[in-house]
Amino acid sequence: MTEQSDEVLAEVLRAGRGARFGPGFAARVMQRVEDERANPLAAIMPKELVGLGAAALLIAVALITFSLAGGETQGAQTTVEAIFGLRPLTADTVYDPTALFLSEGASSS
Amino acid sequence: MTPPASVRRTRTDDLRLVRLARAGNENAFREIVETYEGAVAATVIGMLGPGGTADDVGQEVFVRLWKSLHRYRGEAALKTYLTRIAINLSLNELKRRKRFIDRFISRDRDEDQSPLIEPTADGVEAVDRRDTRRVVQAAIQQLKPQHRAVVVLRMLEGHDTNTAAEILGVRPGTVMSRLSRAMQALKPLLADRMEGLDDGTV
Repeated sequence: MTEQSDEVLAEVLRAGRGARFGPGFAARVMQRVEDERANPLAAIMPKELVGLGAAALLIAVALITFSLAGGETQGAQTTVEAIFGLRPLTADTVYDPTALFLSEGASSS
Repeated sequence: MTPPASVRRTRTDDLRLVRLARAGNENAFREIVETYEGAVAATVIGMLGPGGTADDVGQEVFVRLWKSLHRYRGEAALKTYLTRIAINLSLNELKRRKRFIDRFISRDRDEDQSPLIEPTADGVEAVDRRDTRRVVQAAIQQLKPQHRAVVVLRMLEGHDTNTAAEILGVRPGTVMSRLSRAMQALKPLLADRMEGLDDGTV
């Protein structure tokens, strides 16, 4: 009895086959692929990167604010400078930016 | 009668098309889309029901394939590979819908008490009973996602138990038990149709 009803149900389900997407489906796929090819970043931006970008921006702003607040006097090393191993921002480094990236010994003139 | 393209196509044909598509041949990729559009539609519409979301997910299936062409080595048939992507994306969409429903519609629903048949906005009663396909699709939409996937793969697409298990990443025994439970759940939903079939009126 159960096997028979299973068979009837299977037949009903088979009658439900044949669903199709709307006309022009292949063209829509090709357009999506073309969009991805033309601008892969933009294609995923809405989903994956917007939240990440906003979070990164907030963290950057907070870090810079904290860093500036931490630099008590001119010449003191701020948090950002410490993280990136930069020399403190002084009159020397302002007029000679390359000095920021050079070691003490290399930058001495 | 000429068999459909997806039946005539061999794995060698698929690999040749994939290689061409990988090399940037758009016509080859379009041929893949046109060949397997029906199989992907059966899976996605079976899982999600007809409508705009199913179309979007269907497009995404092929976009994912396009992105992963360099990884496809032909271990699985292209149809199986695409069906696996379609099932995964459909399950993700169902999870998204469930999150939305849980958050905004039924906050206090008890997970442990959730029935095998999940209530949906458009029940079988609302569907035109003369349209078998729509009735069957509406009935399948009442099943839990995991049971729905098994019914779609085994009953609508005609995959064997082992292939369905491979696509779903579960054991064949799990497929068989899920199918059995799903069939039991479907019987009352499709009782009218089953009687009609017995009478020869469908």
